[in-house]
Amino acid sequence: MSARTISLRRLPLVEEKLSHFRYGKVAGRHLVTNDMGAWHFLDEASFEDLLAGRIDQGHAEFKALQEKGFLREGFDLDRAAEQMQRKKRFVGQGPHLHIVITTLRCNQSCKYCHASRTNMDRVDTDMSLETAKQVVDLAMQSPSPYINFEFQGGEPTVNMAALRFIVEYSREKNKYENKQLEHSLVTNMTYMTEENAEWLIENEVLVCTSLDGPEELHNYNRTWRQDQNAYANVRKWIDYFNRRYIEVGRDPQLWHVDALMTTSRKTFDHWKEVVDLYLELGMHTIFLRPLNPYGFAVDTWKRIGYTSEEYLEFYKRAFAYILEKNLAGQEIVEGTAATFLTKILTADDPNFVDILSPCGAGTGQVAYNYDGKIFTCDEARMTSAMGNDMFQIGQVQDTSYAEMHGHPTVRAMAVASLQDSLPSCDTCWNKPFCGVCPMHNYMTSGDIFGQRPNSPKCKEHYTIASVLFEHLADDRDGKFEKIFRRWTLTRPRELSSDCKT
Amino acid sequence: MTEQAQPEAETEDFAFDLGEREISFSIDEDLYALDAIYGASYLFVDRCYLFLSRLAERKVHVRLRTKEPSSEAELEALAGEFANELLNSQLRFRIGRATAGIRAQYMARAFFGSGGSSTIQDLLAELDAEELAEDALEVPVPWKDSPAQQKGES
Amino acid sequence: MTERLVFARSLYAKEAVEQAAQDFAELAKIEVIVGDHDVQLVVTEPDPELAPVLMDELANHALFLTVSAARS
Repeated sequence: MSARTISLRRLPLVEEKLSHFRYGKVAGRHLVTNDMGAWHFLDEASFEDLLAGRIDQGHAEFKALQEKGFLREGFDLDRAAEQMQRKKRFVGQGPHLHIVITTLRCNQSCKYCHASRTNMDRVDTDMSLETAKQVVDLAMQSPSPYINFEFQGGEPTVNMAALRFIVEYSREKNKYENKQLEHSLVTNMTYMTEENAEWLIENEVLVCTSLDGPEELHNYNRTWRQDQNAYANVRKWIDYFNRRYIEVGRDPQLWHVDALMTTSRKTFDHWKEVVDLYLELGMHTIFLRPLNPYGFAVDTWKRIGYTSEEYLEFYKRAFAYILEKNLAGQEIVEGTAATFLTKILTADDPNFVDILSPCGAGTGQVAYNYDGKIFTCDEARMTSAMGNDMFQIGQVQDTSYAEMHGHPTVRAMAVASLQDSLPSCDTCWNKPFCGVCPMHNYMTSGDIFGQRPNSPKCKEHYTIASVLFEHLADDRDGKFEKIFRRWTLTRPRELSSDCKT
Repeated sequence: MTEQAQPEAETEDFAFDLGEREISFSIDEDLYALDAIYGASYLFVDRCYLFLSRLAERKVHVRLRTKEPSSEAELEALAGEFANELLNSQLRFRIGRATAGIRAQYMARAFFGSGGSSTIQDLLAELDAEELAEDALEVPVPWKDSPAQQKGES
Repeated sequence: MTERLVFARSLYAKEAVEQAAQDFAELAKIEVIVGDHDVQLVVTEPDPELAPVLMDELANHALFLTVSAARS
């Protein structure tokens, strides 16, 4: 053992002059944030002035800091409460996103899809019409003024009868409920027919598909029958829907097929082509989604998996390229960035159930399995497929809305995702913009609370928010903020959770 | 008009021992709240194994052992990083404590539609009136069920 | 082989240490001894694969639970 000494500088703090804020170093400056979602960059001297109570009238930062609620002097409690209430409006609204698994059957066997699909002969994993009716009856009891039935699988169109029934029955029921009702379909298009496509268009079911990138990459990730080209098929149907929307007179800005991509290790070699393809297809949004790092066999993970650090390096490269394209006049939004930006740049929260605090498990979203089992979210349903029913909160056949919504597991998930009581989250500058997914914690660490320094999701959220603030910190001519603000604009069509789950 | 004395930054020495794959040091609870020591320690659980022990009254001994082999320079950097986090953690603790009343007010109004005082002045008056048993050394109460606490030893 | 961790009760929450022992119960035989000033964990029969890091991981887990309890 050898003894060492380092010198520390303790900053003075004048407590009675402060309002509540969090802080951290971003882009070489001090970023201060508060519960209302306000933020401000300070240089070293001004940050020390803030702590020491030296920000008085006449100080260059006084006006901005007071206006944003960082100073005790002139702090407006009512305004702060209103801003806070608006940011957390989703709390207590009831589930708006109702994920319905119409079947587990699927004719693709994608490398990253684990335990949530069955082969095409397993008709016993189709949802019955009786169960479908019970799902709608339960879901429509949510007090949320907005209800979205999102069809997932398996491949949901394999059980088109249940899908059609839910759309038609919920519409009928909504004549009395008067909610804003939407239906969206997440489909791989491999089972699509013209008849079904026309029905989906006519019945205004939003369509989202999977497109992992160029042909080689897409076909590698998304294994189909040997003689079939999954990429060519999905391109064919994207073109079909987009053409037909125009032909039937729909606004293509609002009506177009959206796509989701999943990042596998192979994506790292093709990141530029992936963005270029989305641009070529006129996609409005690209979600650079990471794999959920659980449920894989070790050899599969070695082939397609990666570390958080590798993913984030990819994200930063692809994000920079997307921004470059936007600066050059092309319009495409990175989805996760847009979620954070809405929290950072607007008075609202986009209510994206994966980045919320408390999270949306059972309170913002509910997943209904083909057999009527109810889960807090779709990931919980997948966990069940791996033999763990810990996150089941009922059964549509015999559970009331109150029982489902008030289930102890729903409460536990809310507590486990309340950042104010989670060490490190409670003091993190990113707290007003971030969210916690207890399911992800559970699957990666065996504990719904998880340890922040060991959480890949925490690293991901922190890094993405940092990248955005780095651009905002060094944006003298406002060119980044102009693009970022455009990314936060919500068109009616995008109120839906379609392609965001 | 008399100009008020401005508070100044203080410097202090942070002494630590450096061993094979580990650093250890003692933190004075008269300078750093236990909550701040927790906050700083917790940030290192991904890279280090930590152990806190009580070697003397109001002194917390912290040992960090790195999970991976580390050079002397890396261990020195680790000590510096911990010290910085400790400073930040103490600041955050004090900001949180000083503004808890305001936060409680706007949270209550936001979520329950009420919250008592209608102006910041009313709230400050309330806070003053509370005459909290302020600990001049800013040390929070640790585990309330601790026998040492009950005996007033720690 | 028996190993022992001694947690000062003024630093670690008793319930947190007990919970940590419970969470690690499948990985070793752990006896909890609660004293006036400390909580001791006496660890025997560790999972051979995890034995080299078990005590350290257990201590980190007890710290995590303590910090979580203090913040909640």
